[in-house]
Amino acid sequence: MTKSNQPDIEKLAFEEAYGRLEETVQKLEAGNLPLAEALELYQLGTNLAKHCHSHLDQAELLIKTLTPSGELEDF
Amino acid sequence: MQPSLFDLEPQVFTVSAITAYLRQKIEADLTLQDLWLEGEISNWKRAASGHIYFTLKDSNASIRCVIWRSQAGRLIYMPQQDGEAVLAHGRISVYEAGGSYQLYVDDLEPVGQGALYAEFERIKARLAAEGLFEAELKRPLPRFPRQIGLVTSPEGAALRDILNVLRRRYPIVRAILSPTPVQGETAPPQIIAALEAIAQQPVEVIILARGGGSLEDLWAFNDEALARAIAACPIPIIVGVGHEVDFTIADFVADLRAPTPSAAAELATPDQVELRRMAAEQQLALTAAIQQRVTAARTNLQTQQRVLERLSPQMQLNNYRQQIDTWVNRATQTIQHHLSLRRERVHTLVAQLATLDPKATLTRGYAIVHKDQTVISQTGQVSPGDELTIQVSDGEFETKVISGENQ
Repeated sequence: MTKSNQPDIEKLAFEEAYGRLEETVQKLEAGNLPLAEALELYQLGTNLAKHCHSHLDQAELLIKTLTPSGELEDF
Repeated sequence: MQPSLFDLEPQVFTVSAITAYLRQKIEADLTLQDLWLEGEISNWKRAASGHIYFTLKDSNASIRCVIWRSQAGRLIYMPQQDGEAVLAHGRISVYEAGGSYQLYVDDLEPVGQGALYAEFERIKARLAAEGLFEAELKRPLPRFPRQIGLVTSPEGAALRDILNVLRRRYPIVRAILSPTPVQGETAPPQIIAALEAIAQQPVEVIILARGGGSLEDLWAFNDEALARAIAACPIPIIVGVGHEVDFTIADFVADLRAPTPSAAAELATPDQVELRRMAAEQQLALTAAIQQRVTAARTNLQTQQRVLERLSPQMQLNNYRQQIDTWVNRATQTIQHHLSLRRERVHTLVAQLATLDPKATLTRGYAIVHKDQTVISQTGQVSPGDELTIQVSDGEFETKVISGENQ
């Protein structure tokens, strides 16, 4: 787990963030980690969970229509 | 059996006997045991047992009908409402307890659509034989789709329903509509084209949907070419056509059949309420795990601290001190031991010396002659007139040399 992973969270899609959250919890629950790493994982997981919630809070269904020429238009 | 006017006493039947007699008569009539009956449905009712009861009627008469649950499950057509004109096949018999005759239905078709049903069964049987409906062909759906393809009419209620469900359940998703007519003779190739177009897009799941309608309205979804296009589509497809009771060929070949378009949208997406709950659970698990980790670290730290205390210089010094005390004690003991040995030796020597003490000889009459503290043992040591001290066993006395000579 490197520090550089943390700022990336903002860019993660929901399913990536959620997948990483599950992974993080599993890693942390598996134990045997150095304390510093565990604390970093905890912070990461908390940020991921926040990010998941904010994804859901901010989401507004985006609808596009496929034109006969294969372009995407706003619905 | 016929009661005769001339009998003195008219024959009396029990209700059961005459009912059984009527039933026997009816069941002996071959026409009544295998017939198609046309009429309008009324009082359609599915009992909790799964059996279906209804009445078939025309303008002048009605007949009660029953479909046993075992038969009901096999029907491909289910009437939607009272008043529908149907063809019912079955046999007529008597329900003795109710005192009524009724049609026991084993097949039901909408009037005028017999040919369509035959076609439906033909296509279904052929595709089933080819293995297009096999469970192994069904592809898994993505857990969290990012983009969903919608193949349906842009004007239909199906699209509206689907979008409502997506907004409510999983607004994160991006919906891409591949518009197509979903009804009429020209619909199947257009649906196929719409499917192929959406399959070019980066969608992870496709919903093929249409709202409810008559058998003819939904017929496009029984098209064989469409069925093959669905099977060949590289992206998993959920088909939601019509209502719960409507089955189309597209349903059978779909990766997942949904009873309605709304249900298709629900099956395609996770529910955000559930997701929020799950995220909160993960957060709790996270907190529990870190607390456990910190507690473990603290316990470990305390253990190490105790070890460290044992190894501290203070402790080491105390150890040395104790060690020194031990050595000092041992040295003291050793020295005392040696001293006492020597002391004993001295006593022995003193005792031996005592036996050699010249004073002991004085008691036997000898005397020791001193001159100015010097013991005189030879004549040459004295001259006449010298004063000498004579020591005897109990003391001494003075004397003077008169003469002397060497022998």
